[in-house]
Amino acid sequence: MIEYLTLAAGEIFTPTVIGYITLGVLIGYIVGALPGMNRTTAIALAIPFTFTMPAAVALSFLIGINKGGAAGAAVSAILLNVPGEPSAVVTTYDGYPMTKQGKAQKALMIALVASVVGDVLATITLIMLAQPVARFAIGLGPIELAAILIFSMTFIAAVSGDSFFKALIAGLLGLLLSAPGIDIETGLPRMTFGMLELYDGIPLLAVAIGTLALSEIMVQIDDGWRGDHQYPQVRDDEAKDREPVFSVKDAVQITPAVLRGSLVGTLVGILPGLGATLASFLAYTWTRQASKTPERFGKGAPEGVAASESADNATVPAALIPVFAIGVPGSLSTALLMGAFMMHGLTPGPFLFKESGGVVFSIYLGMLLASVALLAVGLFGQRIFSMVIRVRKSVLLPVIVFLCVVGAYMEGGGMFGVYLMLVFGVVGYFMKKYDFSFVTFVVGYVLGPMAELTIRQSLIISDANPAVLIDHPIAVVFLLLAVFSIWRFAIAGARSMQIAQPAAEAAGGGPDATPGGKRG
Amino acid sequence: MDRADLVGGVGIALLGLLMIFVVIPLDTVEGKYFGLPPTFFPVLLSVGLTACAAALAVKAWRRLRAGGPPQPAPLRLRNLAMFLISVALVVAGLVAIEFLGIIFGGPLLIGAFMLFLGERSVIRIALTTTLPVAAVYLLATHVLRAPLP
Repeated sequence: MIEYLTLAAGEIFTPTVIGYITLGVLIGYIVGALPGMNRTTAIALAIPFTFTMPAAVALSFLIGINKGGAAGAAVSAILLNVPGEPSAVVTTYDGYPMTKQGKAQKALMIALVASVVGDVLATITLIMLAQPVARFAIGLGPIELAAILIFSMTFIAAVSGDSFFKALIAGLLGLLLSAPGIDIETGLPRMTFGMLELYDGIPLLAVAIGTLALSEIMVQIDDGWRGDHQYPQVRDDEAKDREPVFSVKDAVQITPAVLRGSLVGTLVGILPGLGATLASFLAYTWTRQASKTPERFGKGAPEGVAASESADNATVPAALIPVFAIGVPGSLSTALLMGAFMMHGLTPGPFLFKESGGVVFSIYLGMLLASVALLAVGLFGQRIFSMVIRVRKSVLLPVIVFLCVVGAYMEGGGMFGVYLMLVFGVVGYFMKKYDFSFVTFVVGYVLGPMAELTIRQSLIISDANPAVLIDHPIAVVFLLLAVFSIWRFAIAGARSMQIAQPAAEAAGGGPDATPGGKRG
Repeated sequence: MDRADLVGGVGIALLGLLMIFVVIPLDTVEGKYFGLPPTFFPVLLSVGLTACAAALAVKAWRRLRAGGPPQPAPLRLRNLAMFLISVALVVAGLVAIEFLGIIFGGPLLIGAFMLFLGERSVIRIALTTTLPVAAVYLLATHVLRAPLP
């Protein structure tokens, strides 16, 4: 381990790599601060620019974007009352009231400190947990892995989007997209339609950039109209503080909220599909309930900002635990990161530590360095980000379209990949409009080859006899969990919604409803 | 959304059936296999897809029959028009990039989108069309040594 750490330190602590990681955090921060832009778009667009970097540097750079995006989303939430990402919605509850009270810089500083602490604690948890879990996961056979994959997909489908069936359809379409190419057993072409370009399968970046970035641009364009493409403006008098920015008293006041948020964010991040938005809501609710003065929440309580932001940022490293240990991503950003792992010749999962232990330790150090960069970028960039969010959409969106084209081209395959990216942009647009889950779609696509391999192996080993499961209790547990999640979220959830909806309408309920209500 | 779900469910179910009976059998070379045929996994997924899509359509149909307040359409004609123009602009930009290269095609793509989005400032258009293209060109050719169209 010491040997690995020494080698990793030699690779990571160089001016170039520190520069790359800081740049990643900066890009993420800026993208996160822009309302409507999100970190998954930034990661998808950044992947092709990492092809020439060493694996550990590339992945640290991409994780830096992810971390920066999570923290940057608080900027517009606090200054404009417009969350940069859905997970920053909770930050607006107390962040914007603080701005209106003339405490914008204090709110931004509290959000930054909470983000960094949540991030560091979750990164340490990742470092401590991933390897032991991976060691345990090495003992799992294809039947157990197939059961874990089935559970992950059904659980993500159950908790994402409003409709379980739509989320499952999206996941199955994603899995189906992974089918074209050379068959793993016969070595013969499958569903390639005679196109040589498809022999290696459908390119990841065409899918990711098309469905996540280009489709988002198209949705933003049709949401507005000519001249109507400017973000709301922050008032200069609101952005200036009338009291000290951050004091020891503030630090003491927010510490319990930050610790709660970090814990909630880490636990929620580990579970597939739940995401940062739920973590922020849970941490905020817990902190408000634990407070002796809950009536301050929603009116500018610093603890509210701290709980939400620490939970949001803690989900980022925590979500990597299942990726490192089992090779199963639970969110859009981790699915993209897993794709990036594979593009750089690494296979996430139980054997990652055995085959590429040195790289993993380099990534760990890179992640910790990204946390420091997050603090530095946040400290010195708050004023700049206040200006960045004034950029016009008519300038930003065309540049992103151009970057989509460049990114899809750089993966290789020439203009074929670019036109394919456009096709997936169209598909993604309709998926967004008709509320089909992107998470299950991209996770399904990334997990496709592993799902096919494990399911085929399981069926061959067991001779398709379900009785074999008796000898595989872990698989049985995960299959039961899959059935339970379908029942709990898709069937019982739908029933409770049917009962609750008329009652809520009669009571005039609406904006205070629990997030993530399911329709089944 | 219920009407859209019904139409979407039926459409996706038909797509699933098309995959099972036409696309997968016609476009897969079976070869000699040890355990399961290469068509197994895509057919399994297509069966699941068809079943889920049918369930979605049935649920939407039942909700439509039960009645309820009218729901806004997820896609209005104006949205669709904006979307189609955006796609047409991207296609035109891609053709320009394919034939003129990134140095000349890139600014055309960015400029067309800026005009479409209502940008009229000549200075802003000039800077936005040239600076990102130049930056990407320099980065790709001199730093990353990556291919560009």
